[in-house]
Amino acid sequence: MSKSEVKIYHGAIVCKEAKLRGDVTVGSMTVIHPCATIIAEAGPVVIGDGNIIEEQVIIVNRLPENGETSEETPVLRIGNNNVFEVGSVVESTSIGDNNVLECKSYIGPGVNLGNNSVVGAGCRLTIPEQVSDNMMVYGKNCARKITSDKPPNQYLQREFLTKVLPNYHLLKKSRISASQGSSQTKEDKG
Amino acid sequence: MAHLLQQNVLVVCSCGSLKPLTKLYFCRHCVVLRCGYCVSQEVDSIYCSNCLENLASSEAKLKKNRCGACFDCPCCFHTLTIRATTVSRINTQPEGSPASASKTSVKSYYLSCFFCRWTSRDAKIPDQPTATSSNWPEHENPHVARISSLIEYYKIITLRERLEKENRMFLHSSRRNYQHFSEKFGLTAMLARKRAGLPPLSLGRDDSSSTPQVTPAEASEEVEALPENIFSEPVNVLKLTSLPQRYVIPDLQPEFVADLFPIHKQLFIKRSQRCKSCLHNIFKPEYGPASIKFKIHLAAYYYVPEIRIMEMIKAKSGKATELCLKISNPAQISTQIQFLQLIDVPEESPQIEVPIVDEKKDDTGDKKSLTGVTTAQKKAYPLEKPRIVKYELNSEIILPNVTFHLPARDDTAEYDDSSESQPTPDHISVVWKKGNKLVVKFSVIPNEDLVDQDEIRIGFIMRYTYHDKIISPLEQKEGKDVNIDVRHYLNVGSIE
Ligand SMILES: [Zn+2]
Ligand SMILES: [Zn+2]
Ligand SMILES: [Zn+2]
Ligand SMILES: [Zn+2]
Repeated sequence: MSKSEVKIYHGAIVCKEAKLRGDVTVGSMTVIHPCATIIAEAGPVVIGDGNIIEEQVIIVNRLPENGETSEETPVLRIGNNNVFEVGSVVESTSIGDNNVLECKSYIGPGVNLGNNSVVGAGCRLTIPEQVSDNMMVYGKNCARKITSDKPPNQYLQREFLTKVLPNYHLLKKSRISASQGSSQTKEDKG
Repeated sequence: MAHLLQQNVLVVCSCGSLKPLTKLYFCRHCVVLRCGYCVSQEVDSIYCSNCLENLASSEAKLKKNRCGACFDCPCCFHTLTIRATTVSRINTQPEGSPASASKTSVKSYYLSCFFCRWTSRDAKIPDQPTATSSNWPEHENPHVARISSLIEYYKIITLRERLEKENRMFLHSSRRNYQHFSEKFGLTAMLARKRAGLPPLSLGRDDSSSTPQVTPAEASEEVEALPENIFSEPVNVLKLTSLPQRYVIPDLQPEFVADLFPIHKQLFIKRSQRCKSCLHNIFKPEYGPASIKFKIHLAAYYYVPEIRIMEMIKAKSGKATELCLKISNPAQISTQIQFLQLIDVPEESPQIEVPIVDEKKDDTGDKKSLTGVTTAQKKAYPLEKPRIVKYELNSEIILPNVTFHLPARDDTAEYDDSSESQPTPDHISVVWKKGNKLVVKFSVIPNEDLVDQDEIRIGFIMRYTYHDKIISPLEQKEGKDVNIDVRHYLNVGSIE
């Protein structure tokens, strides 16, 4: 793995203080707050478009604890329009689209989130599984239910942050133009 | 904030229970400490915690103590909020030309839980055209007829019993005043029946005929068979309700998540506390549900000097160790403080004169009420003997034999930086002094038999002067200073 392989697509807002280590790809329109940490340890981290990654969020593609190495390099793939609220921790391998990870939630290794799911504040998912779509995990006992409601659209919040953050923070330069970016995300979807 | 809740310094209430000072009341009229156990709790007002609507008690009873407008989530029991959506409807004209198809956007409302994202759409409740919540559909209680017939039956039974009791009382009563002549003929009961719209009873004599009959409930041996598919279909836990979810709607007890129904919000009460001995209010909140202020606010925290442990000590058994306690005077008047050993003052029964509660004294009570003296005294509750304090002391404390003077609390002093010059401590045991606060050092000797990690528990009496401003008409006008003994029990640290 070559060092400092951070790829930021055009339109993404990545604050300079954010800690991005290893092969990290940030899709366009994604907003990363100053104190977020994204570490590609075992393999690349690919973040799609329009995500909001708030303060104190930790997203790690961690080396397996028992030291086993599989033949394929594991890729942490995060879809589009997800919200990672303050202090949430992600160590999973796959996260779909339109999910909300509320404050201080935890997604452990081997837990794959689908789409439109919400992991409530402080909820921890630790046992490897494929979480089905529209899942709502809430409360101190991590009760689950399937919702008919989609999580609210974060478009306005993202627009606001895109405007405000550059006023107060230095940004990491995006290296890849928008056209390349969109083609990249299309590949991702495919 | 943490010191308000700390359990290390406990104070004995007049009823004998041990509580931190912040949980105690101080009755200015009896000049004793009171706590939640030994005051009478009264319901002041009934209100909904969400919409803050105030309800009369009869109205609340009618609504089964639930708010008509607010709902709780049947899934996670948080409050539901009304959410609006705009639905665009396409009005197609009969001609079918695209120009005639006009779009109108209509607002519609549904209930939604912000915590678990349950919505009234999950319960198949149609969206409402208005935000006023009065027209949300109600579910029908399947047992409503049975319940109302039972309530009706028991209403009549209670009325009969009360009437019989009253009759018996008047037969045996030795009281002779004119009031009971009207009672003798059951006039009040008859009036009550008339008001309740019930047929008149023939004065409680043995007439079982007028009692309405109810069919007693019968237990059945037959149990409904399990549905066929329970053996063949896999269980989907996500579709089943949890037990709390079932029992929060007792009349429906839905088995499946799809059958959950919004719950009307339970009403809250505002309470006031009354001293059982002198029947004065100790705590009284303002009536309005939106107000968090109090009309009467006799918390012990504002009247009794507070003792805080400066630092938990680590001591060796048998060895004297220094303990610093901070004493602060919360009152607006200066006070003198002395410390005494617990054994110096015996645990006495409360220094309250027992009010007139004796059955035999009823006559005098009645006379008083006739002569215009408040009937309050008559109602006074019998006071229980204070319970014995169960707090094992295992260490000795050596108390300074001096009287400390604590000035009144002065809120402005905290902002006054100029008073740097420290007043000279008036005794060797005074470590620090500023304003209404004082740090005194004591010596604690843990018992010899204490072992590692044992708590060090001590006790003492703080005697302070309290200026009693409640003036009885017979005594002098200025009020008087009284000494109040407050028994303290402290856990001051551990053996190392
Ligand atoms: Zn008490
Ligand atoms: Zn309400
Ligand atoms: Zn809910
Ligand atoms: Zn009293």
